[in-house]
Amino acid sequence: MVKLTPAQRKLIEEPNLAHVATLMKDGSPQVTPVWVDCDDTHILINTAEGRQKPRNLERDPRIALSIAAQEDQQMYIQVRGRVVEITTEGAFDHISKLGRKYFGPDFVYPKRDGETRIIIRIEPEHVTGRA
Amino acid sequence: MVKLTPEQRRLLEEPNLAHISTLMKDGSPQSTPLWVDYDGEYVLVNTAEGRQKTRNMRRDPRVTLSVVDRNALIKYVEIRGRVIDLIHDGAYDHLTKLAHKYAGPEARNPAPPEEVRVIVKIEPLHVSGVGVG
Repeated sequence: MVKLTPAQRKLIEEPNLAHVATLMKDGSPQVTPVWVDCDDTHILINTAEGRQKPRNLERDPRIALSIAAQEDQQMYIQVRGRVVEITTEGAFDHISKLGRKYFGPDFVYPKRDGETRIIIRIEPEHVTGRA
Repeated sequence: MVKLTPEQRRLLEEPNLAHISTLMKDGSPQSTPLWVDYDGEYVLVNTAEGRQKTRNMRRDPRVTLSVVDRNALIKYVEIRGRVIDLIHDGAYDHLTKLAHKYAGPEARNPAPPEEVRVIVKIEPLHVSGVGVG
């Protein structure tokens, strides 16, 4: 487990997107941009059941993400780590909170029939970059 | 080889940062932001010898890029592809061109003189995205 520095944490806490790489069944990488969040120890992203990313992560928990500052693209971090938990608990509240972070305090994340949100908790193992 | 639609192409031609993922020796993914270019057929990125992603791409040519529209964060394109060439010739000038694209016509080439630059030529094999045709 690697602890994020205050500057690295700030980059995550500001509304910058993370690009998350997971591994397909054949071992090739898949990348998608996602909303991102962190707490004192882990990096959190939010997706929905049935999507490619969670399917990949259930098979292989190794994950990488890179985040560049929207305002200054020279500032970035890259993280390699491991998924330590995938949970539905609190996941809709979490995506609503992320929605407000990226789109402002009035943003309401729509409830979609049949969509089950999940939180993916990532333990950072290797963090580099210019933050 | 997959051809990009005009909207996908626009995302690459405008100064939007790409994030490229490559594979480490143990098969785990690595992701880094970088400048990107499209020549109408191939996706071109520019890196340097000795870096992790360059070593990774020489070992395993499978890469994926994602590019988000800097003015509309819901528009993005994901390009899965294969590195077909790593080129030294013209790589320094290519970086100068990218610096002008991303940092303005007055921008200087950021590479230190001792660095050996590399153009990475990527064949797009599978392209998808949301909000881009």
